[in-house]
Amino acid sequence: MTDHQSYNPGSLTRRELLASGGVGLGSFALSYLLGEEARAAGLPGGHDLKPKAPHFKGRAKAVIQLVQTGGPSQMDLFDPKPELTRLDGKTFTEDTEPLQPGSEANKLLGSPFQFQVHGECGMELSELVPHIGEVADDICLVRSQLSTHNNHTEAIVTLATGFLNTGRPVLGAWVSYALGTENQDLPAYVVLRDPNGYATSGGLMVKNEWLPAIYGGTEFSTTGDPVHNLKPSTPRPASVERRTLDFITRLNSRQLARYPLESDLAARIQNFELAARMQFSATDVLDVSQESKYTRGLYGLDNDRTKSYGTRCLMARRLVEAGVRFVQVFVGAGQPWDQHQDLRANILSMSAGDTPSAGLIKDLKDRGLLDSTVVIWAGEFGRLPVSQETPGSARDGRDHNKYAGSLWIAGGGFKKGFVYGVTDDVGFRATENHFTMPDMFATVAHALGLDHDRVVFNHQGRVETMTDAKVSSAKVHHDLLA
Amino acid sequence: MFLIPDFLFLRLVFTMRGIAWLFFSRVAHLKNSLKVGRIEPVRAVLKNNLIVFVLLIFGSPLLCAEELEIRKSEQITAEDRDYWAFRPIMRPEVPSTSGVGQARTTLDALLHRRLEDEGLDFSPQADRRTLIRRAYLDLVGLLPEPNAVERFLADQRPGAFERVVDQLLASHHFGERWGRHWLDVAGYVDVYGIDENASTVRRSERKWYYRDYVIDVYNEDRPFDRFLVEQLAGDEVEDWRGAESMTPEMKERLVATGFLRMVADDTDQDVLNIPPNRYQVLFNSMEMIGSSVFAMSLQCARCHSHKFAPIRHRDYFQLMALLTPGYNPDKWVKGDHRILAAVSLPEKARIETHNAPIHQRMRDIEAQIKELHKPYADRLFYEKLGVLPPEIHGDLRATFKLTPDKRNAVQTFLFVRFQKRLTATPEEIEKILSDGDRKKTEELRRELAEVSWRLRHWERIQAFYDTGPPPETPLLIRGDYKTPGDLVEPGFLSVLCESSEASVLRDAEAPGDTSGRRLALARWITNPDTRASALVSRVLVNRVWRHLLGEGIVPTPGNFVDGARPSHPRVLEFLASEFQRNGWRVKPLIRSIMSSRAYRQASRRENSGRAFEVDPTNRLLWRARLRRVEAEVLRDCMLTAGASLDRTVGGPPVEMKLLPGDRLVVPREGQVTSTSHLRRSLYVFGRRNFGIPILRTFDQPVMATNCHRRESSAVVLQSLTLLNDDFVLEQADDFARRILHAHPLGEVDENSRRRWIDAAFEIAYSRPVSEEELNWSQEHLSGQAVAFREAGVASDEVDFRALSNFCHTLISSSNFFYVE
Repeated sequence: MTDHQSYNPGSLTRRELLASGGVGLGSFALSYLLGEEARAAGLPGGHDLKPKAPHFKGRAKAVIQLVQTGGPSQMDLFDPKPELTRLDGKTFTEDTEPLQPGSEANKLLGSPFQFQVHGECGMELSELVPHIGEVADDICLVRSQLSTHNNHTEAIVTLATGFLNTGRPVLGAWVSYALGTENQDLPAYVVLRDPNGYATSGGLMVKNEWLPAIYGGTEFSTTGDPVHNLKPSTPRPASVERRTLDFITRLNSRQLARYPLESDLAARIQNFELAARMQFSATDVLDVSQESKYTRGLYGLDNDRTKSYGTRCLMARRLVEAGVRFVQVFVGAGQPWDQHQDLRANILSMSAGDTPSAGLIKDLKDRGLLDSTVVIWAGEFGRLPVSQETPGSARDGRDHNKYAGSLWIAGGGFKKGFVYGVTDDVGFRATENHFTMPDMFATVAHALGLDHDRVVFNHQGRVETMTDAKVSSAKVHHDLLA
Repeated sequence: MFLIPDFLFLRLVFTMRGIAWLFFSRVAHLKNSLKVGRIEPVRAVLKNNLIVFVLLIFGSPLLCAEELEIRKSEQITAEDRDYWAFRPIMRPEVPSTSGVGQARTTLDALLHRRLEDEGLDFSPQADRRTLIRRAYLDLVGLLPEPNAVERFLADQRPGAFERVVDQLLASHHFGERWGRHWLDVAGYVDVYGIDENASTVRRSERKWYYRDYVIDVYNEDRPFDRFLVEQLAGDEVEDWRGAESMTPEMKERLVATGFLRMVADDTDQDVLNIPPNRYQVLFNSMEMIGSSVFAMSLQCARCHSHKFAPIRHRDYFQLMALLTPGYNPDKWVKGDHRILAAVSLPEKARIETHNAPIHQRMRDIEAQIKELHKPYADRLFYEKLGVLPPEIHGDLRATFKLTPDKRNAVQTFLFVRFQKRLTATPEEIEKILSDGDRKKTEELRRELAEVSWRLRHWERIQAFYDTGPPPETPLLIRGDYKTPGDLVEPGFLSVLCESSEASVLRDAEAPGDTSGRRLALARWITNPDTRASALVSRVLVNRVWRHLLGEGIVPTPGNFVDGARPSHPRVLEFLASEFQRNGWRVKPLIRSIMSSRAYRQASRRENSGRAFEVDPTNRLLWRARLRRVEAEVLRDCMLTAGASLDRTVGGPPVEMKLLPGDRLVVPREGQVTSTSHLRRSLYVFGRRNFGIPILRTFDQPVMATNCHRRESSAVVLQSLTLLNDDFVLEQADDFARRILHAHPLGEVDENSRRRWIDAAFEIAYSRPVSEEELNWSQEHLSGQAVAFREAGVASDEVDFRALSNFCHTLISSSNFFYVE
């Protein structure tokens, strides 16, 4: 039942022969061959980042995931609820299962923000996101996001992996595992986080877990050096550098020749070569100073409030442009969309991020990259229609809500100017077209030309799939795709 | 195999009606199972083979019974208790070791049976150089010095390897290496809270006492049952609250309870001292205990009875009720207030009595100084006042004459606004003192210092202890503190007790003002008659096995349920039984594993074709596993290669510093001593999400809760770190200096280079250089010297730079950081 049976022992001798010739053969070719055979033999770790064919032709080639932790408030941003405004202050009849104290009175809270119609499609969006409004005709808005848990940690793990409990690979790892990457001078899956810290759940958000390590997120920094140790603090002369790499490769190849079945040793040889190439390419790719004033303005780099997130969005575009498969951008450290109190003030400071998010869409479109790049903007859940009262603060906070939330996806074959899903009159429950995180994985995979159920990995004898659809009931929402 | 009974059954009921009924009922059953379990093996076959499909449909109930079945009932059954991990230990019949291939010990004989079943055998013993390097890396996490290798090679008497092992087990570096393993399990860090901001360090004062305690336990090989009792209930063993004096043992046991203080606790910040966060501390502690001691993830049972594992919703809260007397969510004690004075109450009273007159005397002297300085302070006040507009002089004079309680609101405002501008600093006063008054001041200060020396202090310990009488603990519906259900009694996990009734704890008691609940837990898991102790022993020996053989007998050391299977059940039983027989001591266990052929065999094997074909992942141990060392070992080995390691054991953490761009370094400056930055990695300040690149890129874990299995990744950031990190380059320089110290730089020619190369290979790889490597090395050294010279490096530096670069390549290559 496992792949091992397809392994032909005859090739082992050949491999050993090959390996004993070790350094004579180009080390890169050697490791490549070994990787091929290791994969054929079903060995753990016999993997690389070379581009791989999708299951069928997909529109999208790359993904940018804009991670919006905290729980963006759908009724204040994306999901107009006139009925909620009318009922403001009235007692809500349903049990809203709030997480924190303060919502016991269960009083409905109308949005203090006005909604306007945008674009030819007539998408209604709040005054908090005017720049998203400018790209309304390019995005696909989902108002029926369904989460699994009312607590950040669990819901964020679900956002990252599709599952509530930790231990499964994240979307970026699956995508780079399934498709490899176009640019062999950069990692397949790059993570750009807020320099002030990790999002809630820390490193779990970028982990390959049991998928091979080369598919895990590689963290690039957006302040100072994009990558630590990209260059030595005292430069080495180019010829010294080349000899250093060559000698390490010789030593490493010898070690690989002694252990021809250890694909990690092969990966190390590849990694030193990639590291050498990155020294040149990564600096260049991440140098946003090369961008025009106009482009920098598009991402809000001229504004202190949007500069940090804007820099990450702009770097994401540069990376995708350079052929990186998956870029994960964090809107901020911790869970910044978490407006339990002082909604008006707090959400205003967050919604400034709509400049970079919209700027990214405009910029990708200008460069003809939007059709081949899926941009996902999503948090872990939505918020409640009732107000949460915190002593000493204004009556305008909202607690978590796993039953409804809004997210948007743009590009890569997703419909343009399209609204999907409906919530009840006050925005408490999604009532139509429930869209879960596993559904999102499946649908994004489809846009990339992948059948989520056929992206398989043999994990300690169990064949795992991207969405474990039998458990998660993940399905592709074809209505979202053009 | 599972198909046969159903086949017989099928034949009997082979009617159309029967088939139809069977088919649909079984399909329903299968679908049901699929909803909750892993079905991929089934699915793969379904696609490939229609016949198998039919067979599987009918065979599925038996297949599902293995591990896929959703639990029908909340109740724990006899079958649940008969799961391999929960049974009492069954010491296997010990086969004779004579004549079984290359077996040396009982352990080998047990392992060999499985190999023999497949027609395999162990690999030949590894050569001595490989063995001693393996032993050093495994036991102390440092490189063997070349002279230690020489001694071992020269020791032709029997038992030479045993002597190396004994010597390493006796080294204090053993406790550092193995203590680190346990610190992973406990989730040790030096901060409070979830630590998600790189530039904000919320230091948990003196948490490192616990780290040093763990090192001592391993070095002294204290029994592990006692270790567990001390960590879970060190505060309940003796009545330290009422004791006349706090003995060193009491202090140490209180330090040990730091184990229960490891999870993130942000409640020291007032805004975060709210019920959800308090409960999160409890829930995370439950998860930490569950995974570290029982190798079970308990978190599902917090919301409902576990869907796959035999853990009831009630079990979770029974167990949690053991912690609530210490972590009482309703009468919460904030993290920074859980610090105990390491003295008894009478001692504390005596110290306070002793200190009272000293404090009084100190206050008197301070008052005298103030009195002496008053005219000067006044003078400065008026000088400073003179700069301000005259209109406000009157108000300010009045304000500053009054004591705080006499000021009205306006005056308070004025005081706050002008305090800095009008008050003289000690330095300013110092400058204008008359000679006589300066002398007097100095005398008074000297006296103050002398008096304060007589003050007595007490140590402070981060501990876990009952903070009050046990509160009632309700079961939380859906795991939510806002929906409390029935009250539960304190107790244990039912599946590890003979019945659910027996799982309730009715007679907890302990000396002193404490509930004794945790002591009961600790005694229960260490009492050899219980199922719990059988499980705990299996969990512990499995971890030791993993650290020496590279993979656990159970591959998931933090999770023994959810379908985990031991590769060698009899070996596991044997080791668990031996462990208990030897008084729960780790060193004899390590010694016995390292005596085996299984441990000593080579990791390379010529003609491995057949073994590879039968067992490609080497689960049966037909050879030793090639293992990458952990992050800390890599850094420590680099420090050994350069002979710059500071071998100080224990003490406050080595500080990290955040540079622009979020880059963390261990700086030379600002440490306890001038070589503290060269101490072993386990002493570097521990954070949850952040670390220095050489550790972080080599899979130092993110300590969200704890860590059971270090990753061994091979990512590109590691290559960049090895190539360019300042630490690595500094160690290369030190390594080069060390070689030059033994073989000084004179006329550089092929012969002198040969001496360098020999020395460098012996130090870095514990072996001589091969012919091929020698040629490359000669070529590299001379080539780099030319390259540096051409790049304009000063001629007296060229050879050192070339040698340092050569050392750099050696410590950056796979040979350096893989255990063969």
